[in-house]
Amino acid sequence: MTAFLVVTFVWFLPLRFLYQASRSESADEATHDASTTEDVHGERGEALEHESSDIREGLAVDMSASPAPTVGRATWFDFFVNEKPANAPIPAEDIEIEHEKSMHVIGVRSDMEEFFHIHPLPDSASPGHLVVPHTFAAPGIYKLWTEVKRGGVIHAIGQPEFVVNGPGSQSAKSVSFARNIVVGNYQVALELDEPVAESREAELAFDIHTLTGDEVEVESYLGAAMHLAVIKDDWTEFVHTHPVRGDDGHASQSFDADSALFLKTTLRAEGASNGTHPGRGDMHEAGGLIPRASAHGEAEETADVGDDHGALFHVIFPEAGLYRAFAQFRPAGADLSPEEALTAAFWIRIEEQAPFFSNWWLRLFVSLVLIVALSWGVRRYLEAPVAGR
Amino acid sequence: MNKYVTLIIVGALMIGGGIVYRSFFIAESSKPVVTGKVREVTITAKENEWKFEPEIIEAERGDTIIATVINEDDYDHGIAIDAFGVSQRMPANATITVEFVVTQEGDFPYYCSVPCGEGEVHGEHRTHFDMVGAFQVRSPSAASQ
Repeated sequence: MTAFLVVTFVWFLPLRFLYQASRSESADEATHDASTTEDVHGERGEALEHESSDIREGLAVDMSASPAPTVGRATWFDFFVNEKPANAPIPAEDIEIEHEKSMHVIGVRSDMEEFFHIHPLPDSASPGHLVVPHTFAAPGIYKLWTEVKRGGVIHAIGQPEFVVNGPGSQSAKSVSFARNIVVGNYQVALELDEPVAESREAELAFDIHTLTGDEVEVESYLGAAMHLAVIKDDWTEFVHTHPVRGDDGHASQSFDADSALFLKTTLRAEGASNGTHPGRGDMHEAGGLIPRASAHGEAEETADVGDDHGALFHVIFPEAGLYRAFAQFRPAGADLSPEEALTAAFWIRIEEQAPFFSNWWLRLFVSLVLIVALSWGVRRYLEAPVAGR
Repeated sequence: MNKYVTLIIVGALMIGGGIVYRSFFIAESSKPVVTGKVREVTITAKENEWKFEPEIIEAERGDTIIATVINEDDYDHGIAIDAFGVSQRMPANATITVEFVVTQEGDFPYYCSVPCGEGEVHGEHRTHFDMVGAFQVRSPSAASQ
């Protein structure tokens, strides 16, 4: 009994408290960093976000598409990376490789049921231009974001929305707060401490299993273990983050304060317009990306997604509302082309107000009350004279 | 106060703590839902096809599922739904009934839990591992947003 009490009160509970406290502190610091600068500095570099229509000077990306986007027919997208106001092309050698690609393009349909992530390549004949074909599977109104890195700064630029013509329903918005979904031959679970409040760091943990419940390892893809795009349903907020540093994503990766900061890529898409466009669409189509991930606040972490923590992301949601999180991973040994990945999409509701007491403080309070009560009870139990003596 | 009373108080406090936690600290979206609505489904292990039919079963969160599971084969199968604690053997040429409540929203696979071989079916090689289906559980209130 004494040993149990010693272990509980001297070792386990203090350790647990310190662990929780350290996590809370790091979260607070990260939130402060992001909210005061709107940029994030870390291993990945500083991140800036703009709408292309708002850019008057500095790096810009202008999008054009030919032929007009139509379902079932390849559309060539041309992204002109240039310097405003002169529209001077920025040569390919000035663009830094980020996660093995010169540019990342993430697009969604207005109902958030269609999703793609593709990678344009430099056009050697036209300085500053990167091109990529894409074939749309469903009609509707789309928007995409481009990401390029120059001088250590990642520029995420929201592009104007455009229409994809073709047969079929243009929207099929269906909001479900399922936290366990099936993607191909895998099931993906999202663990999230809800309710989630705006401007507070939230922890999104993804766990991947086979349909029969076996843990799944994911393989490195484009230098990261998993990619997460979080987009508000009115397209005014866009977050793209990775759980680990831009290395090869092999099974074991160290995790430190820098990479913790790297997780907090909060990008604000000011000025983006559009409301939700109803419609329907069959789920995501993942044009490219990534594998499995993990990153939690412990000194050493393995990249297999099957442990209790799975792949962990820290995300700050700037505004209340409905968001959809697209987690892309590549199961080890899966029969996928090199550019292919599986995408698990989850709806998340963000509340305006955090609870008066955060869940953490409530748990701490109740834990303390229970500890005191248990201690009192045990003490009474031990001190009580044994009947008959 | 004797030791027994103390122990009872301690036990009551611990149980009370659990009740408080479940009442106030679990997000509404995470609380198990039981509506009492009964949904009867029939799942068939097709003869020598290594396949469950239907492979997709839709339900609303909180439904009580009464599944009649038919094994058409001359050998045993099993049905397991990890999320709802279901794991039952299906004897050869027998019908069993499984009852559970789908308390959470999401996709929850069910699969054959008894190794049952493999074979060619209409030119396609199928195995025990192909005997997989899923319950798609949705919340009517959420879906209508």
